[in-house]
Amino acid sequence: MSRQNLKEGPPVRRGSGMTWIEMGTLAGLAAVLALGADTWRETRSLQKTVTDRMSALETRLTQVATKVDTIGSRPAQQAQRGPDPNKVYAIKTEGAPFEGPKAAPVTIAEFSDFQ
Amino acid sequence: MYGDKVRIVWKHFPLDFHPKAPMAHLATAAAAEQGKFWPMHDKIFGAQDKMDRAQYEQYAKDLGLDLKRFKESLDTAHGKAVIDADIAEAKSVGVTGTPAFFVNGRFLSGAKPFNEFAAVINAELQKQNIPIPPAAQQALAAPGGGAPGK
Repeated sequence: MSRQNLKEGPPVRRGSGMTWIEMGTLAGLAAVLALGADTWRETRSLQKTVTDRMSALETRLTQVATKVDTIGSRPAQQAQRGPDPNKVYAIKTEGAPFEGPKAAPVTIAEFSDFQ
Repeated sequence: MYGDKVRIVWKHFPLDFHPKAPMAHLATAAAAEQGKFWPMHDKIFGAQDKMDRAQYEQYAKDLGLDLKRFKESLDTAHGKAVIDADIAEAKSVGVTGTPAFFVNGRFLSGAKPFNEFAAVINAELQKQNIPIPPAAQQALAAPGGGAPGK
């Protein structure tokens, strides 16, 4: 009973009805193609953006690496700084505690602490 | 080794990151006011695990100092001006760590082996036509000696 109902089902239009289905299919296909092309274009531009960003990032990374290298080598430079061993400094000795004869030919001034 | 040829002058340079250093330097300055800098220096230097004011006052007593005067000096931070002047001088010539030595004005950092000191001292003596003590010459000739720039 129900089978018969299904078979008769909705009225199917013959003739021009088929063309509509074809037209619909064509329209759908065109839409899919258009969408695909659009997506492809978008993907292309996205790829370009990503590539550009990547290269910008690489540049920045190189800059950072250079900076890190500079900072990393700084302590060694600082250790080398300080008084110039080739210079003669006039260190005040008057009134400072000393050991040895006041008129000694060699005076060693010692900057020191207790800890 | 150098007998009467060398004089050692003390310059205060308490490092910023040593919290107990300022009081220790004040204590030696207070002792210096009574002519006992080096004995106080030796006591503090000899027991760096016991660095506080009570300990310094005990040292002052042991050294026979006028304790009232010593305490007053600490109370008023009397030695601070001298200590600060030394720190300022150290910084002005670029000293950043201790000990730092100036042999007749020539800089030597404390991390140097003895023979480098001897080399500089000997050069200073030679400049003044003063004979180098034989013991100092022997020290330089010893293994690892090698005085730079004769």
